[in-house]
Amino acid sequence: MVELEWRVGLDPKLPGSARPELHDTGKPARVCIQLHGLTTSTPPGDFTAIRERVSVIACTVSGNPKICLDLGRLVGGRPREKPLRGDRRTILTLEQDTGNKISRRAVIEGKQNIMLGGKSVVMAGVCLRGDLYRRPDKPAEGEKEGLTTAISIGRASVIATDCTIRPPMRLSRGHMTFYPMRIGDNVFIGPGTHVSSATISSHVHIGANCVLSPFCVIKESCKILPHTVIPPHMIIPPGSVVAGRPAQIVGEVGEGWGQGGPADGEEWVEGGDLRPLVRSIK
Amino acid sequence: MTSKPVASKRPPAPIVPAVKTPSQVHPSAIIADKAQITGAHTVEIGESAVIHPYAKIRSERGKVVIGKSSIVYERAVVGVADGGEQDITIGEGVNIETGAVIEAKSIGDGSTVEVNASIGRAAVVGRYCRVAALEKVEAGEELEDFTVVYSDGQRRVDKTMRDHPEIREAKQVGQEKSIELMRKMVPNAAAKWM
Repeated sequence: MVELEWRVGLDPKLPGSARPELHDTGKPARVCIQLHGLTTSTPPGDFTAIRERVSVIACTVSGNPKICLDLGRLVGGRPREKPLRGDRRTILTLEQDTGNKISRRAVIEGKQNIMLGGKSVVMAGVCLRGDLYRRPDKPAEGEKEGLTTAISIGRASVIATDCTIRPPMRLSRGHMTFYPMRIGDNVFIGPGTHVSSATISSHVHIGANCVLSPFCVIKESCKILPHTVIPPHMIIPPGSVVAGRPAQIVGEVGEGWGQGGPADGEEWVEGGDLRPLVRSIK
Repeated sequence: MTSKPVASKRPPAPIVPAVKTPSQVHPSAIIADKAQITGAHTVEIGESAVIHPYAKIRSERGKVVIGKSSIVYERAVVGVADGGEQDITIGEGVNIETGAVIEAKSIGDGSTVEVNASIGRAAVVGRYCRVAALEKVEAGEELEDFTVVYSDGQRRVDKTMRDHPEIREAKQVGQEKSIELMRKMVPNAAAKWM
């Protein structure tokens, strides 16, 4: 199932495109979706599956003017009630709303089980193990397997080069299982770190070459200094500065951490909104 | 011939060695497709061993033996890169975590080498040892059984492991269960190297 999130904007230069008119000619429609330079064309009712919000660059609709684009379930959102309709004269230009930037040299296993929020960056050499996901024990009703997310990353998060993100594993009810891992919004993960935490909340800044052992929990607005090793199951309270191996809380981030404008010459501020950083990459 | 550039999204090319590494792979071993096994010397992979994608096993300088029920995680490197000949023997039930660099002569049964640790040339690691994340074991060093290397070079002896055989057994059971899980999760391409 393609689960794309997109918004439809009408090209104002086209005549008559202010309001799409619906004319049903009864012929089947083809929707061409351009994703990252790759073009897939889908017959009606059939979608391919990419479980991430990709930036859809252009979409041309041809054939039946009464196009019914049933998007099914939006990634991470509510199901859309009404299908979108378009006119064949309309070129649906999609805003690059969900601008995830994934390096070609990133190594991603199990892409289907990885959910990326919008505007996140995955840099070169990053290894994302989405193939290690938690298998649901009981088969669901009917044939649908249900969502199997191994890794879910929030918005405007940056994963720098050569990191490894691997879901944690432990014994549960007599069997070893992998658990899904969640990374929040505006999280910066420095180069070379190994992340196996259970959760990382938002606005966390992780330095270079850290190791986050399985099932550690990092709460909001923390700062993890480079070369720290966080032992398994450690819970780091919000607003702490953590360093050392094994990691210890060495301080607290101040009240205004993340706020305030960036210093001169810098575009973004640690712990704050990472969108300027995302924009400046590539 | 068109001059139109094809913007193909090519996955990273797998490393195809010029000479196929002579390997003896046990039929129940699990080797991921993207694992990299290179080198001219023999590589022996024991029963139920698991080699994750992008793990590198280099037998350029010597034989590499991976024992039964051992797990080599992604981006681990087992094998000496340069210098003289040296074999590497990894014992049974050993966990070599992500990014670890192993150039040791041998690693005893039940040991764990954690994330991004490195073990120097000709080192000998005893049984049921644990080298914590980012640690280094120098070349030629010998670690006794049940040693824990932690916190930037400190050593201590893991008395719990030493004095309670049931804990060691529990560890083995845990290892077996991990392997069982990985059998389901990691698609096996061992046939490529058999």
